[in-house]
Amino acid sequence: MNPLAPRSLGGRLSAALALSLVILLGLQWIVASLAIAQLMERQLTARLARDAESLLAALQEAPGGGLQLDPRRVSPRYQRPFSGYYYTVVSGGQRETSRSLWDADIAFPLPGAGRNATLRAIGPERQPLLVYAAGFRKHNLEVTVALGEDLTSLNAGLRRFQLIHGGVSVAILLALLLVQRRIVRAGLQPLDAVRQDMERLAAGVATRIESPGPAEIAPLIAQLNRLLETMGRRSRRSREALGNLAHALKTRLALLNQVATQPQMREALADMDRIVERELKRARLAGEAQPGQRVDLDDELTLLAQTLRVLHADKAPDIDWSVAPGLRLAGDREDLLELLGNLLDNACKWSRGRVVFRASGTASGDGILLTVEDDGPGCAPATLETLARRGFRADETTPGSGLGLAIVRDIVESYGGRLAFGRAALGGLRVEIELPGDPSNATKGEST
Amino acid sequence: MRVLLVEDDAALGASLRLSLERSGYATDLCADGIEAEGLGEVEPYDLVLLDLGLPGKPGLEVLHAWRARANRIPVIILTARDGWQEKVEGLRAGADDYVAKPFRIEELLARMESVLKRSRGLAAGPLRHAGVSLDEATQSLLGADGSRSALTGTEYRLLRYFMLNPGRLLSKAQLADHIYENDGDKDSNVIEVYVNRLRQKIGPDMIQTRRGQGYVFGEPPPRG
Repeated sequence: MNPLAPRSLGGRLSAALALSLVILLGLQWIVASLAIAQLMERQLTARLARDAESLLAALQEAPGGGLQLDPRRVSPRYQRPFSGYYYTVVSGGQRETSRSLWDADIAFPLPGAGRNATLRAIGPERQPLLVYAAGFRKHNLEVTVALGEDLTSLNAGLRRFQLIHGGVSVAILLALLLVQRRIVRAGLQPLDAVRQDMERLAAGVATRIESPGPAEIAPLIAQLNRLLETMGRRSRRSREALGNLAHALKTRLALLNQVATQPQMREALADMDRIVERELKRARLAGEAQPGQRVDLDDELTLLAQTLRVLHADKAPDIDWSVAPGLRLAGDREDLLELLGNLLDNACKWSRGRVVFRASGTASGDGILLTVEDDGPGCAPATLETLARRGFRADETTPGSGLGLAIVRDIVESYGGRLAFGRAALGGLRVEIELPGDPSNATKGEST
Repeated sequence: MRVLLVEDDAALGASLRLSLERSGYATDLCADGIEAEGLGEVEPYDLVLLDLGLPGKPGLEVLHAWRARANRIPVIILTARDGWQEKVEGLRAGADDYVAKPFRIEELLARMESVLKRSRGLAAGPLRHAGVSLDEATQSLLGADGSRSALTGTEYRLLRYFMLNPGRLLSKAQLADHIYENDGDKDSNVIEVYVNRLRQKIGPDMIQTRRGQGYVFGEPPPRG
């Protein structure tokens, strides 16, 4: 991924703002440094020009012809060797240099009368020099006065300024980046709320997005909420309709069962009952169409175990169940109750009194593993194969048997899970179901 | 045994009532939730078959109301709503069993018998007492020697009620209440006739008369 174009809006804004701030502050640092350097050089040049004029004034006609400097009018700083202040005066073939130069020399151009030139040169003891040369005419003689000044301390001052200025600029940059980060974060706050709502929606805690969101994406949220609502309403309505249909059909079937005398008729009625039960239950499954909802297995199993103990009171089955702490199933409560109810009911039906149920996370990640075992007669290997096929009926003689497991299969399939049968350690049937889990189980797993 | 059948589908209700009568249950039919709640409070029913979708008051609320007033009358929910959510809710509300429509009448009768026995703290299986046992399927009496003798409808009802309440003092009115439906003829003198007929079949000492009070079914007193 391009680091300058990250996928998050906040990242993009931060990167662009940070880059522009760095460029801006870098430019101002360069401009300020150059401006100060130029200003200092201009000031120095101006002073050298004044010094050149005072040197010119100190030039007198020498008795033997030519020009000669009046030593009394020359500043003592030109006398100290390598003092950093130097001059050379050229008039005619005559050349006079300051004592400070000792026997070194500075090369400079002769600009001609009334003109001047500024240049940089390397002086004695490798001092960096600013050299100012100006041409004059005095006593009808052409005179060139060149002055040099050591730039070492000046350069040091300039560097110190640049350093301080740079430091201040960096501090300002950091402060601005910090402020900018906060601004971006505050600006994107509404989006963050929407994201959290989405997570709650996915986790099944919420059924709609509550936060209004910023104006830019408000229509999107409104549309999404409308869709969620329509979907929920439609699914509720179709569930209700199917429930009513099942209710009406079953009441009539119950009546027909009362009056049916011929075995053929009774058989046909039993078939109709099975079809109504299976198909309408399947149609009522919410499956994955519903926005994620979560079911607390502990609560449901407590109630379910009580219910099953009553329904199978003659057998008084000992239902030994345990759920890994905090485990939740992602899915519709009614579907999951139907799944667990049919599963455990089947086990109770066949058991001799003991049913074991376990729910845990799968080893591979966020899935959920449900196992039910009973101590009943179990199934022959051939029957186990039949069980694994669709639309099976394990035992034609026990009313309703097989149907429960068929419904279990329907539910597991509608949730994209896996169903397997085997032999239980207790001797009876072992049913193993793997369901794709609630994402929050996975995060729990990672954090521990 | 007196049963209250609460069912709003008139055709099913009537037909079911007929089947129950034939199996020896004095059955009152009621199609309204509010009326059913009142009947359950007033009449000494031994069992209620309760539909959930009722006019007037939903079946679950009727059941809640009874249990809230500590009315422990045994209730079997009889409904076409067969989802596990409904089952869990129904049994949580205090039902003793849950039978989904459509059902075979044999299945319903078996569950009614088992709830009746459970509600009286008796073991499951055929009713048996001191060598006398009752075959509920054929409504006949099995003697200790394996002999079988047929019982008339009223005899069967009376004997079953005695056997479900062994050792308890039962007045004539009480017996009449439990073997005749609401609109039946409740002449308690007839009870005396039936008790005498039963004595001929199960032996004279199994049912003792407590003068002015009623009858007690149970082991004959040791003879002095």
